[in-house]
Amino acid sequence: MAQHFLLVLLLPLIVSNTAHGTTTEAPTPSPAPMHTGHTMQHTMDHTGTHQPGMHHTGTHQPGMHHTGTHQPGMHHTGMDHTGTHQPGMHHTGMDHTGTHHGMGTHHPGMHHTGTHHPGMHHTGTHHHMGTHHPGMDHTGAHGDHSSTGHGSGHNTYFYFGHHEVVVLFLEWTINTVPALIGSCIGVFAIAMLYEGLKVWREMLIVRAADSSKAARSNSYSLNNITNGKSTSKLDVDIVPRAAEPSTRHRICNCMHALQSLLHIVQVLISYGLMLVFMTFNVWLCLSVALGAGAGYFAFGWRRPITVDRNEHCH
Amino acid sequence: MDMPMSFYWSDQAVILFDGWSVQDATGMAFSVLAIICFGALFEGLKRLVGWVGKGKGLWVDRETRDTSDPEAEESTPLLRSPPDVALTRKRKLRYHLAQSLLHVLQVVGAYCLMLVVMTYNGWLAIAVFLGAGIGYLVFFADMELKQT
Repeated sequence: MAQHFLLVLLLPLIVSNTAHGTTTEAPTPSPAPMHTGHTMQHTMDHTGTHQPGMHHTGTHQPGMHHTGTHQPGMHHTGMDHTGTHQPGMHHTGMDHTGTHHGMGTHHPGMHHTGTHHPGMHHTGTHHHMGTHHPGMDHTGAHGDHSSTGHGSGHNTYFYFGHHEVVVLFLEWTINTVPALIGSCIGVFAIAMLYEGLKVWREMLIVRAADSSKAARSNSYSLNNITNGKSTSKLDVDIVPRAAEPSTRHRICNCMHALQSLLHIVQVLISYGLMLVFMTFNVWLCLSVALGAGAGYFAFGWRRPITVDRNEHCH
Repeated sequence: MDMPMSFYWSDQAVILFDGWSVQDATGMAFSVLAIICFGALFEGLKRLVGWVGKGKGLWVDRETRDTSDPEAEESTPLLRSPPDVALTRKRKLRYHLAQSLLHVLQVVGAYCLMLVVMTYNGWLAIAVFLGAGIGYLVFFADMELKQT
C-alpha cells in the first residue's frame, strides 16, 4: 500500500522526464479490435501548428489526452480518422477539456462535432502506464504538448503534477520543478500576507478608536479649562459637536476610506487564493493552507481584541 | 466542460445563467454595473444579518437567568414575568428564523459572487472587487469597536 502511494507521487515526475517513445497498446476491452500490433507514438508536437482538418491517421486511441493542444481557431470539423474510425470505438477516457477554440471567445456548449463526450475521465484507461491509478490526472504526463492558448482545462480532482499548471494568468505557467517550488513559496507568502492584512486592519481600527477617544478626552479637558468649569461626570458623557476638533472628523473619514481600500485588497487576495486552490494542484493547495496557518501563527500574536465583523464567505 | 483557467479580457461572457450571455461592450458595461450593485448590496446584507442577530440577543430566556440576584431584574428591563416566557421564546425563535433566512441568502450571494469571479473574465472580477469595496464603504461606515 505504501509503495502504491509512492508510485502515485513519483510516477508523474518519472513519466514526464522520459521521452514518450513507443508505447505498445495494451489490450483494451473494446468491442472492435482497433490497432492490432500498432505502436502508438505520443511525440505529438502541436506547437503553433494550425491545422484545419487535422488528420489523426491511425493514432487516435482511447485514452489519448489532448490537454495542452490549444490552437486558436482550430477546427475539429474536418478531423479525419482514416482507418481508425470504427463504429463502436470507445471514446471513454478521451479528454478534450483542453481544447479552447480561440482565446477570449468563451462559448459554452461548444461542439466538437461528434467527439464531445460529457463526463469523460481517465479513470483506469491509461494502460501503458502499467499501474492502475483511478482518478489520477495525466495533465503532467504529456509534457510535449506545449500550450499556446488557454489553461489546461478544468480538473475536478486533486493531482500531483508540475506540467502546464496555469496559475491565475497565462503567463504564470509552471512547467518545471523549480518553477513549481518557486510558485509554492510565492503562494505561501501571499497566504501569509493575507492573514497579516486581516490583523493589520483590526489594528488600524483599534488605533483609530484609541486616537478618537484621546481626541475626545482632549476636547473635554480643553473645554473645561477654557470654560473654567470643574470636570463633572455629566460633561464627560455629553460631547458637544461644535467643541470637537475637526481632526476627529478627518481621521474618521480617512480611516474609513483606507479601510475600504484595504477591504478591496483583502477581497482580491481572498478570491485569488480561492482560484489558486481551484487549480486542484496538490502542491499549490498545500501551500495555500500552510501559508494561511503560518500567517495566523505569525501575526496572531498581535491580534487585538476581537472586532465585531463578518469576514467569512466573501 | 471547457472552463478558462486563467484571466482573460473579453467583452463576451456567460454569467451564472445561460440566459445571461454578454456579447458586446454595452452588455458588458451593464453587467459590470449590475454586479457592482449586487456586490454592494451583499455587503449590506452582511450588516443586516448582524443587526437582526442583535435583535435576537435582546430577548433573553427567563429560565436561563439567575433569579437569585434581585438587582439583575432592575438592569434587564426586557425580561418578562413568568407568564410571558412562551412569548419571549416565540419572539426569540422568530428572530432566529429571520436571521437563518438571511444567512441562507448571504451564503447564496457569496457563492454567486464566487462563481462570477470563477468565469475568469477580467472585467467581471474587477466588478466583484469594486462592489465589495463600495459596499463596505457605504454599509460599514459606522464600524465600531466592540468593547469587552
